[in-house]
Amino acid sequence: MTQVETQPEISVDFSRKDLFEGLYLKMFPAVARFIRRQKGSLDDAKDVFHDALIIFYEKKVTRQLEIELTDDAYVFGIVKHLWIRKTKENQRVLLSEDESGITLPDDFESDLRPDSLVSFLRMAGQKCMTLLQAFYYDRQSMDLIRSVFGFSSIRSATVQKYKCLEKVRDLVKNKSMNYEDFINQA
Amino acid sequence: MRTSLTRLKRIEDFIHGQVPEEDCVVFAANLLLDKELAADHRSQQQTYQLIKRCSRQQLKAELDQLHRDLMTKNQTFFDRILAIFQKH
Repeated sequence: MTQVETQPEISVDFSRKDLFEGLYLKMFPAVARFIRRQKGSLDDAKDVFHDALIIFYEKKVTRQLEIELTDDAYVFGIVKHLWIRKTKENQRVLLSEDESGITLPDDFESDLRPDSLVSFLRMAGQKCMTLLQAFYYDRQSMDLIRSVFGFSSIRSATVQKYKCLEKVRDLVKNKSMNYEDFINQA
Repeated sequence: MRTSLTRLKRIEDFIHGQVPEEDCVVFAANLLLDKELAADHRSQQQTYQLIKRCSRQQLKAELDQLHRDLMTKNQTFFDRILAIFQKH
């Protein structure tokens, strides 16, 4: 029985917690040593590692890992790219040929502290947001979503997904909200 | 599905590049002619961006919690990390 099937509540973390815990125990010490050598702090190591894990996760679920590397090597490559970006083209970090092929998403911002955006979107309802995140961010299949959320069929799960999307979209529209302005307010 | 949801799906398919090329050209032309469709298209794109940003914030919070858990409940891990930053 999968982890998802044992969780009756709407808590769609699927198996990502296990993925992250495994990577954390295995990789964080190496990342911390790297950041320490670069004169960074423990907080720097944590922040860069978390950002790297988020980017890695997104690439993995969307199958957009540009090069064939182990998960560890890929995450470490992202860490190096992020550190170079953070320290403004730091010349002391050498990238291997493989690591040079890794790209960072254009729309990724390091500051991901919860802001008013979260409470705004929660107006659409927690269940709706969890469903939308599971589909659009975690890229879970409609069949798995049907099972976790207790829909009778994939069709009814799909209809509900569009109803939720419409609800959030209408919130955005009704507030006559300019996305950039909203993000700047946060 | 009711009409408004079908419309939502059509816009989604266009945004995600899931329509045949000839339909794509027609849809792009409609976007130029139909102001209401253009407004819906824009707010739907914003909605996907908001969902992504919200998801990233949530994931970041989960990772912060994982870090706290490992540093407070796993003494070996804590000692190992601390030793790295105590070295001179």
